[in-house]
Amino acid sequence: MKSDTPGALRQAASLGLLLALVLGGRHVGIALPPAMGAVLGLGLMLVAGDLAADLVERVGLPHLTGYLLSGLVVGPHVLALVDEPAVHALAPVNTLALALIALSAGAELTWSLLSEGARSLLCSVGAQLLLVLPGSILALLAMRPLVPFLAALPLAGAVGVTLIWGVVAVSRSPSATLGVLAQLKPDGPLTRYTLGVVIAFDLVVLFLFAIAKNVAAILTDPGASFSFAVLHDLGVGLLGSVACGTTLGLLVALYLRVVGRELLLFLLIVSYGATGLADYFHFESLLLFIVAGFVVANISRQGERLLEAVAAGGRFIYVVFFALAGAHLDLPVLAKLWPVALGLVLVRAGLTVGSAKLGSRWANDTPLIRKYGWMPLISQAGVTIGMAVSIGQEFPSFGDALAAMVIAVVGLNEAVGPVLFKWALDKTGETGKAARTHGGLTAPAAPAPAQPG
Amino acid sequence: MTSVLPLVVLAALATLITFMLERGGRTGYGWVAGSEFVLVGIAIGPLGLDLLSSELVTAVQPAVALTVAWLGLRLGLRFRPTTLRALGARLRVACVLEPVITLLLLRGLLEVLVRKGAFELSGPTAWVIAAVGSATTKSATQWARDKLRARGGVLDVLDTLSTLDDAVLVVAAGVLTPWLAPTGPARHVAVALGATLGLGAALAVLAALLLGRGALRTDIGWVVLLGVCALCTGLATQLGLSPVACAGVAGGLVGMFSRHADALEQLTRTTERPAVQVLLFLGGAALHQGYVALILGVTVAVLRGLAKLGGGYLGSRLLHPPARRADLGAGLLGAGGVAFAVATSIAAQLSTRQGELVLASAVAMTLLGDWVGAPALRGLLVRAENIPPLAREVPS
Repeated sequence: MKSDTPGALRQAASLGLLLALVLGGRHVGIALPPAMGAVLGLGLMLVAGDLAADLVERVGLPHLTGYLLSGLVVGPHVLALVDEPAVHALAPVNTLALALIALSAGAELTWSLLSEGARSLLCSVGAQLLLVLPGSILALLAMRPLVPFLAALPLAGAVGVTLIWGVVAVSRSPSATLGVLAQLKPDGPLTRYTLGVVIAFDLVVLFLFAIAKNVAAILTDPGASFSFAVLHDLGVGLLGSVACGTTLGLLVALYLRVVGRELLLFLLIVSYGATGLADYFHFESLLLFIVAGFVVANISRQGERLLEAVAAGGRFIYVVFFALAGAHLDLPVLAKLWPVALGLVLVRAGLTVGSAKLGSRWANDTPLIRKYGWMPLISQAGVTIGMAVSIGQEFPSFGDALAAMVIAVVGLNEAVGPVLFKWALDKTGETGKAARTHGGLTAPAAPAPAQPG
Repeated sequence: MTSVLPLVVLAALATLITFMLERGGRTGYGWVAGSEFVLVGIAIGPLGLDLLSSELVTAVQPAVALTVAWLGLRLGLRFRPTTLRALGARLRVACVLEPVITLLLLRGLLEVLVRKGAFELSGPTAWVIAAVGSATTKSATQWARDKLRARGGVLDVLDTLSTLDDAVLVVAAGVLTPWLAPTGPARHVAVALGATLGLGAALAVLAALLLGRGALRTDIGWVVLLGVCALCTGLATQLGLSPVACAGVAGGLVGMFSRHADALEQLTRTTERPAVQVLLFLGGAALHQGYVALILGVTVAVLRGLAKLGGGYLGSRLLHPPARRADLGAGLLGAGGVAFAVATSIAAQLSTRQGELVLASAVAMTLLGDWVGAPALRGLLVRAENIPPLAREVPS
């Protein structure tokens, strides 16, 4: 924790100067078209996010909290310096960030990591599914009278909606995990356990979410019937994502070995190109990139090079991703739904603690994992927000309301999760213990040579 | 995503073409200023196969504006007080005088053409074209060093001239952009220049603070530079100022006063050529009004060559031998880089027809700069004995 007051004041003054510049420009200048507003918004989020990250670090909070706060403050619901159309126009930047995070997450999953922690990982995922999924469903059903859109549905429909919520509650945040790891450069049992569990959850949730949506569609629409064609489509989508990800991983490994230069440009092309392909074929882009990263790290010897290339843009990726997540937070909705959202957050947290401890006991984990293993599992961010968007699009009758509630819950988990994870890493003494000087999004790029004068 | 994907595919195609042109990627060059990207753009754009919709070209304009500002920032980062002081007064004056003379000569020649009724060119457009023509791409001298293994006094002077004459172009952009802005609070030149300096300075202060005093971390360096560049682009556009000039000021101040200036310059060095290549590609693809604009462009490029020869001759009068040569201007014919970026940026502000004329001129100057300028530079360096005899056989 830094403690020099002049430094903090200087940073606060800089943040003030930045906001004054943008507010002044808005007052004096012409209105910008959305795309140009997005460029300004990008600059504002990058600089404000970086300044805010340094400021919150002084009070012991992780950088992600600073990024989120900056996005929230400059976003559409507070100062509105970055308005809704500009936030929408920045979607391609978010796509890039998500692709690189997933690629890096996959490259972090090595065979050794998986085989060493296989028992731990399986027990943790099993316990979470056994407790958090049904527990969250029952909790929301119990709160039904407090949730207007749920109270209006018949019991079967309400069960369908709560089923979706149950899967959403199980989802974790690889991006928040990697973001905290990037800042703290930790290494140790908790770090390895978290990496494996969080990324594994991502894969499980993708599958469960597709099934839950289908079942909910049947339960909420009496005219609908269950069709195995949906499972077929789901299977094709997942297998296609794995196949496409494997091919992409091999191509990336080949490029790294044969050409090995202009890596950032290459990753940019790969990210947008593969996301476009995934959209076209209805594949899961997140799964595709995780598989690609996994293939590069485990089938070739280019894993470290890939991680190094992604690390060069590490900070940029996190600032943009989390500042945009902050800008997406709908404060009016949060203000309206906070009692229910808070209740759901507390129930989810309680169930997560219980299931993590149960999983650790089954796996016979070390005392440190038993004590702190639940803390990295609280965060929710990009994947869950993506699920909320999908719910809003696919269920016209209740989707928007459920999505708003999910986003309210994510907002609270986003604020608390990274702080808890950082605290756990500090407590276990793993912070700053990474042996690598470079690599992926979990460790910052090596410093450039310092120049005198 | 739908608009980004084809652009990414086209950019990948263009990169592949360069890779093939540079014979396996060992030399780091395609053509000297990357003008093959212009040709690919023309081939794919409305004048060729028409594969690129005008909506797509319009959709990527903000990214283009950001790229232009990035080049301005890069340009600013190159300036160092110590380097400038070491040049000597005569060379410093020559660095300003040569592009200014070229600009005025080219503007005069264009005025003659317009008065003769050869072309319809508005006054502001003619000034923009003259400003764009005044700058020499640094790629030419870099190419001579890397590929021709040229070394010597004349090359050093040409290198300095081509680096510093961009400053004149950036100042011109700083004046011309607000002048051309249909609305905007800073239409008076003095106010516009003051606002550009103020905004650039404020952003440079922010950058310095974020970069900190310790060793520079590359990831933070990227965030700060990209953030400042995007802020320059957005705020300058909002205020009717030139993003490239604003970014140039911010970069210049960081370059002059930050302890990290050299590290930042080194960090971003490899981005310059790809950024220019994307602009060249989109510049070629944006041409759509037919061959009249290209004919004007070629005429302007020829006139620019003459103006450069004149500017180089007069500028060299200030210098000591061996740089004091009548044919010094022959080494300054290369075009592209920041000049092309400024042309792209200002063309977007003008009416479609006038913007097309500016772009066509920039395209023709870049092509002629590669086709004529590179051999002319080589010839000059051979005459000045700046190229070792064995390297003279290397094809240009």
